[in-house]
Amino acid sequence: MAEHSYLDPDAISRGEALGLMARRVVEGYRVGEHRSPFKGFAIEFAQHREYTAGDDIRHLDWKVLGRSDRYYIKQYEQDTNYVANIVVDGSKSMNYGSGKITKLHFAKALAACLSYLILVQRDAVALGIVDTETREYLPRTDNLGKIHHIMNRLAGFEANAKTLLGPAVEQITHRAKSKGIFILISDLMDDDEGFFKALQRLNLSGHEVIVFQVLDPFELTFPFRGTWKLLGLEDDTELQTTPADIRKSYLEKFEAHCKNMRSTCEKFNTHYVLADTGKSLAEVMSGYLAFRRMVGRK
Amino acid sequence: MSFLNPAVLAGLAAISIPIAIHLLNKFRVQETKWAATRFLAESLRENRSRLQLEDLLLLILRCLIVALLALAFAQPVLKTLVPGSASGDGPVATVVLLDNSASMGQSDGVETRFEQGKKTILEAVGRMEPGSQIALLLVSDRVEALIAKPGPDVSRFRRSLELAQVSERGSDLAQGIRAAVEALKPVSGYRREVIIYTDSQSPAWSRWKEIQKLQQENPSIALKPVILGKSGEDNLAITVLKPEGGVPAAQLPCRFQIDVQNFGTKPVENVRLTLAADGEAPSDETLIARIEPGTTQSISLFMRFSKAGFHTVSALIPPDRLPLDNQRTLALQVVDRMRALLVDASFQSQPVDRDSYFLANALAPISSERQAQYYLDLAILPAAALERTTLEPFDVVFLCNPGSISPGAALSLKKYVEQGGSLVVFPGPKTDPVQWKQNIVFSELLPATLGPLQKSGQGGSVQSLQSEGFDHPVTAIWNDRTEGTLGGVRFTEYFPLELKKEEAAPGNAATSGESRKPLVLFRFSNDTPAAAEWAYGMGRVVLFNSTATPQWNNLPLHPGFVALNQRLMGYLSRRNAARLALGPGESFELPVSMELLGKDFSVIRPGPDQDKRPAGRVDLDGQRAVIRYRDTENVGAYRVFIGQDDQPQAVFAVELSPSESNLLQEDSAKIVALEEGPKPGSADSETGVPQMRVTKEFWTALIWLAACLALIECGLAHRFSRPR
Repeated sequence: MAEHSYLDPDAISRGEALGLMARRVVEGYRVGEHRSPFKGFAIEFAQHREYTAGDDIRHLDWKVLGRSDRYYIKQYEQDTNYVANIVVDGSKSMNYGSGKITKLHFAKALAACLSYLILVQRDAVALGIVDTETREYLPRTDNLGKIHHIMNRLAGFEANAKTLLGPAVEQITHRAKSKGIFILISDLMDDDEGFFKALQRLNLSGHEVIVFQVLDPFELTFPFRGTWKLLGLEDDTELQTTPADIRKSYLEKFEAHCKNMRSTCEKFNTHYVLADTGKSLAEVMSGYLAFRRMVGRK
Repeated sequence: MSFLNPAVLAGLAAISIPIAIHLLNKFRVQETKWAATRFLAESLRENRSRLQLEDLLLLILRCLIVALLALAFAQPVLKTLVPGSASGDGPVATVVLLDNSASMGQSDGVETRFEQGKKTILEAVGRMEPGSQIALLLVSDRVEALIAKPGPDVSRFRRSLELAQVSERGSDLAQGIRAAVEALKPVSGYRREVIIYTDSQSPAWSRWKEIQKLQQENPSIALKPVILGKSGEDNLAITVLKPEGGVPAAQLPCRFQIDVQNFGTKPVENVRLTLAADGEAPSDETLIARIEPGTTQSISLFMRFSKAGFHTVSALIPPDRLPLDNQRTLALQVVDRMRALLVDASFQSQPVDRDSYFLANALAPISSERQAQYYLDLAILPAAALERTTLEPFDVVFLCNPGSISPGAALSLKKYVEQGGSLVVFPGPKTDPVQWKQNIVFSELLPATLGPLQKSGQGGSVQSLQSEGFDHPVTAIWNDRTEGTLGGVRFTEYFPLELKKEEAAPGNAATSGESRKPLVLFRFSNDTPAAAEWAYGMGRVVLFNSTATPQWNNLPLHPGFVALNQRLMGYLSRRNAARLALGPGESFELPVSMELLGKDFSVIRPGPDQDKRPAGRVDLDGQRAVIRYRDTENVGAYRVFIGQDDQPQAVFAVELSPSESNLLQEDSAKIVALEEGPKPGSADSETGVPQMRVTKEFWTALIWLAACLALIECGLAHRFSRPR
């Protein structure tokens, strides 16, 4: 697959206007536009703290010492960049697509466009592709020129294993030690417990997590007519049925699953985005970025 | 429970259609890969039993709908025994039986009875109840079904009636009534009746018992005769026209017997009767002074034919209201010369001592100078030369005192008779009955077998011939005492004749239309036959029981011997030409030379149109070429021509049945009794024989049930197909 096909000009143009700002404090590695958890000696005053032995007396607040005869050190807030860990679900269930594109293709395009936006605003991107474990990992980079490298990695990947998000996400978190933004793009065809554990670990690591659940419109509506034999993508299940007869039951169960995933996300203060592959990438991505801009920082 | 259209039950096989569609849907499976199988499997597990139940329910409903429709179209009915009464109101199934026999052509001066019948029928049809069914049969001596089964199409009935024509056939209502009853038998749910429009001629009801039996067997079918015209219309008719006496020969006077019968109730006077040949001016005529009612005047008129060949002879009386029987035509073949061969066992003797001497003189009772002009050419042959002689040129072969017949001679005689020749046998002293019996071919030819010789004084007695009660056309003349009597003829020696039993005509004898029944020319006074004859093949064989000489009997010396032989010659000649007289509708068949095979023939039919009409081709029938013509519906003379010949190859006549001239109507009380139906107390009681009648029909209920099930099926299918 050609790398350039993942970059949707419409999505990028809309995304550039909106930007992807960190909602939480992030631990960058250089000066940027985002709040850092570290207090430094820059421009913006943040707080006082009592002097302890060993502190540099250059930061002693002499005025306070003069007025109250107490030793306080002046601290200032530090702006930094963030590292966005974009994790794409590369399991076999992502290979389904009722139309021209599969869920995996949609997820790759979304990951590519987000990477480009993040790099454009001088933040860093680290890319991971997972199924039962981490299959691909591209360490963080803030060089826009590396976008081609990212897309090559995405294009070169083919799904051929089951979904197991818990262990896979854990492996990523070991590599991404500093707090940043963690973007998970998956169809979430995993068991609820695995997903719960993955979110819990990310939350404990202090990451801001965004979950894009990529689903095909046929999975959402199950519109088949006649008799069908449905072959499982991740297992050897073969089901022959008249979908019309069980549509309601199936949709109920699937919606319950999605609702469960959403509530898990809400529990861990995570943004949940339903990415319908029947809609355009620009619509899905700009819709979320606009929402994020409106919600603002915490 | 039974079905009016049981054949439709085959439609039950259509039950397989919903099953096939069901299975087809099961087997027509599309395939795709799917990610969310987990949720699907759960849904399936939860719904499987419900889905199977729904499928089964819908399938059963659909099969049931198809089965109900098939049953409904088969029209199931409940039949119960009901009295066979034919009375009542409402729609009726009627078979109109219209008599179209020749007598229906009788006119009252304005219209014929047939036309009167048509009018009456149309009026009756106009009064019929809506929903009635009607059929139309024409009946004469055969049944012609214009509308064979009762149907509701009245306009078709009117059209058919308009095209119906009176025929020139005889009357027989019984077969028409039988056909009508048969047509009504399958009809149910209607009153059933046969309306017979007829002039009610007595002969038409000749099979009265058969009609009564039909009525008794079918009491629920009403028979309603409608009598057309008044009873006892006067009618004078020529009922018989036939040649009498000897052989019709050219330049010799030929006598014709003409019977004129008065069928009316009043005497008729001064009836002019004329006789004409070949459509020309009458050559003889007479005036009958008076014919009493119900009597017949037998008249003899003479005709002399200028040349040999086929001729037609017509007798004519003044026209009356039934013109068809005022003229009668016959066809006959006039011979130029006939050749007779006398095979004589004593050929070497003096002529007067020969066995054929008296016979030859009786056959040609003229002086030797006039022999050349006489129609009969006699040839005498020694018996020994019979085997070597070709017999075909001779019209009649006489065997006089034949002894042993060689197998070759017997075969030659058999072939000759089969092809239309006539053989007359006079046994004599040289005859050995035992040897004749052993000669199978020859004995098969004879109408009787010869018993041992009977001699007077040697156990036998002198036998004399009967003096009255002759029933053979040749000897019937001696029933009239004015013509003399044969009672004085004595037989001193003779071979007793044992007549053969009647049997069907074999082989090509079928064309003669006769059975092989021996006929007795005359008997002894003790009623034993003295001479007999029968048909064999296309010819005839006559066997006497004694000599043609005065040696054993005095018949050759009797004055009647000449008349007997002359009449016998005429009879043999006319019997061979009997196929020239047919009844209306009978097929004419005439064997002709093989040279004519495949040639077209044309016919000039009776009537004003005297043009030749192409009529067919000379056909092959076995080993013979035959002219076969079937369109003989009209009475009169038919002339058959081969190719462009001006002379007819054959002439035949179609003759009206004499019974058609009898316009007296059947006893009205009898007819009324027929209309009233079977009498109480008899096997056919007042209520009639109980019969199965449709009392309940189920098809509408089945249709409604099928419709209800269809609605339920639609509702369930819709409900089941909603997202679940």
